[in-house]
Amino acid sequence: MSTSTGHRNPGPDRSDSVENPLSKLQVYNDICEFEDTLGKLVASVDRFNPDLELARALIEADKQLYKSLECLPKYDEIDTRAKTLDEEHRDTDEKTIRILETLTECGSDLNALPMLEQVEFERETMLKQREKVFTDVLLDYAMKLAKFTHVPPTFDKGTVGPNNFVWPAEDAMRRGMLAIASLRASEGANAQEQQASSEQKTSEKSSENEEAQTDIRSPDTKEEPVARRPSFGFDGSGAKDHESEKADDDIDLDLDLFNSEEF
Amino acid sequence: MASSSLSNASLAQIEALLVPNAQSSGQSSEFIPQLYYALHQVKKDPNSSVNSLETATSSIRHRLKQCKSHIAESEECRALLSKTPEEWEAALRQRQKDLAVKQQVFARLERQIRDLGDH
Amino acid sequence: MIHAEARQRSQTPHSPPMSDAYAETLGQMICLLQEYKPGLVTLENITRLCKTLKLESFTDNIDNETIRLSTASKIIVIDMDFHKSDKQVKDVKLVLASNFDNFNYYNDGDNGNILFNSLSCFPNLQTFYYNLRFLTTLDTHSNIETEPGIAAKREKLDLFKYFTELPEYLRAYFKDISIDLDIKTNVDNRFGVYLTHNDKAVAQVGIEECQDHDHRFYEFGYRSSGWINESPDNVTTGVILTLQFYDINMHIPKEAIPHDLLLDWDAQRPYTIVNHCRSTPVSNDFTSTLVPATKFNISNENIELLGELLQWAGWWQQILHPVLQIIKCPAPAPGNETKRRSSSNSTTISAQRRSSATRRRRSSQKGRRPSMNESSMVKDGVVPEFSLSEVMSQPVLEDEDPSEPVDLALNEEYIQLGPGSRCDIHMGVHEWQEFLTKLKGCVA
Repeated sequence: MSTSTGHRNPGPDRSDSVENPLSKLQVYNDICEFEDTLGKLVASVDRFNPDLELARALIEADKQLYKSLECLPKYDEIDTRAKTLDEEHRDTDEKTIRILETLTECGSDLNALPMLEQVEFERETMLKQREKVFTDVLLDYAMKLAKFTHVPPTFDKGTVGPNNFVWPAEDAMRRGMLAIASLRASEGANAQEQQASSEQKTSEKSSENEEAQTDIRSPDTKEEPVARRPSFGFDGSGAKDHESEKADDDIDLDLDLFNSEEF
Repeated sequence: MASSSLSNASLAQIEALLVPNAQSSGQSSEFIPQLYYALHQVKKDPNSSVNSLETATSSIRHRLKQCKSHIAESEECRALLSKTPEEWEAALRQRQKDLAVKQQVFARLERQIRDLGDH
Repeated sequence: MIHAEARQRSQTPHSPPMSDAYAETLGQMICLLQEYKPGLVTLENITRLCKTLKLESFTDNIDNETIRLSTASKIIVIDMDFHKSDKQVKDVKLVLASNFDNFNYYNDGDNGNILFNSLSCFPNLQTFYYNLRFLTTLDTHSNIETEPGIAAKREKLDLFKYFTELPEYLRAYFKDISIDLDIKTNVDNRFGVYLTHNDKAVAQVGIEECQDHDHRFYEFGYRSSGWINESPDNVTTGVILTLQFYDINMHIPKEAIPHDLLLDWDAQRPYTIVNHCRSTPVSNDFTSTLVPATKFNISNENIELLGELLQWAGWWQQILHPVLQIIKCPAPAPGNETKRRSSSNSTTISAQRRSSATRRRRSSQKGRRPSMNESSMVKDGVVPEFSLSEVMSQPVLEDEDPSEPVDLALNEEYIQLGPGSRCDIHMGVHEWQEFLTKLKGCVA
């Protein structure tokens, strides 16, 4: 740190007695020293007691002060360099911050986008879902629509009647294949409970039972002639393998047109 | 008025107050010449009640006080003058190094972005 | 309060001694400050300077371009013309009111107007101040008839005329006593008579004020192979003729010159003769102590000492001092600036030289605390530092030295080397050089 010249008596506004930071300033101290010595010299002269030594001391103080002042251009140059450096720091900081901000923005933007795999999976699932139409949804929708629609005036209600139903009548259904199959299924189930260990179709049955639905398929239907048409899936895939059909049925066949509990 | 060669206004103010300049000798800041002339006048007429050395040198003292309060009040001045030139050289060297580091970081970022762009 | 009382006291009829001392001290203060910083070259500063030297000054507009500052005393009138536009000096003329119009204020050699140069070649008034003070000294102390009609004074001495004639006297004198020095008037824009050897300044002769205002200064000229004062009426008071050597290491035997003629000697710092040269025994045959002295009063009859002093200076500078340095005799450290000055204000040169020497020495001592720490002692050079390789590589001193150690005897006026060689102050430069070469060969 810069040293201060040796002062003998700190004056009233001498740096080291009032403000500490100022005492580190060489120029400030030199000014104080000059001021003090001048004051003493002036006092000695005005008191008719001029002291030549004070004049010598003043000369030394003056030399010291102007020696310090010679440093001013150097300080000026340092100041210019410091300011330039500060500006360069600011510039670089600004540029770097801009890049980082932009990167962060891009990052958040990208993060906001969903992942490709996820997108594809969701799309596939959605499409698959769309392939299957839930019947209750369909019926609900139809019922809803029915509330707001009415029979077109040109439609002859007479054409819709038990005689024109496209589906078989109730009694016909009771005597139909589905009913018989269903009866046989429940008979078969009873029979199977008695012959649990010898049957090899337990897996098929257990899968049926898991569904807790009246399964239109029984082991007996496998013995049905191949000519019997398999049930349709709405994806129009046509004839399916028995196994895969079963799998499909297990998953989604909700087409419970005949519920033995209801009738 | 001669203009100072110092670009920092604060420092230029100190210079204007204390360093005599032959061109702008209107406001003379030559303390020693003023003092010896004042002494001469006192010597010529020592018994004059108005002609004391104190009054003759009051302008000198006023300038010194002005300069002191300028330094005390100017934060910029104080900050600049509180380190010796050698200490400043060291500080500036460090600041230069810091700047180089920052610039390297920036350059690396630039490079990385450019590389991303090339893909 | 105190001021008023003090002033009351000084106004009483019993005050003269105090106000004399007061004025005297103030005068010294003014001189001190003026020598240090007379100021920048401005019209205001020049005017003030003139006023403090008791010159009348006034300014005059010569034309649209020029402003003239005229300053005058009893004899001298200096006209300094400045450009109004840039306040730079245009021309300077010196006129003497005496009838002597031959006063030279130009440089030896380049013939520059030294008053003009003082105001244009330098950033401040130091040289101008020196020259102005020289002129005012001559002016104040010249006894001449300036106005006709006033009862002619008996005592007459025109110092300007004397200063102009002095170089010729010196030339004749030097020729007669075979002193090989050139004489130049006004060198480097400073008034003075300079004694040079091979263009190197050796000493300066000047006319200066002395503290004793009543000191009588007679006009001595070198006429008919002797320094003669033609008439006791050719006299003035308050000045002395000085001889100043530039060699700051100059010492003289204490008893050689009367002490009142030594203007800046210091009895406290004699040159102690000590032999630090290991190979040569030295016997100290000095009959007198050497004391530092560079400035001498050679007024009146004492001008005859000039020859002796110059001869001693040559002996000292070319033989004695070099020999003392060869035997590594330490020179005494220069003391404080407040040395005893028996008379005269010192010239700027001597003050500058002295103070630069002391300042230099002091700054080298500053901040050095004595330390008993071995490493710092080694660093300070107190304890010589040796490395093992250095010690091993030093040649072993043979006990049987074929050549016998040569005995060296020193006296202020002669040096004896061994039984056969001797050199003394009265010999010629050529013989001195031969001796010195031989000596250097003998001493390790």
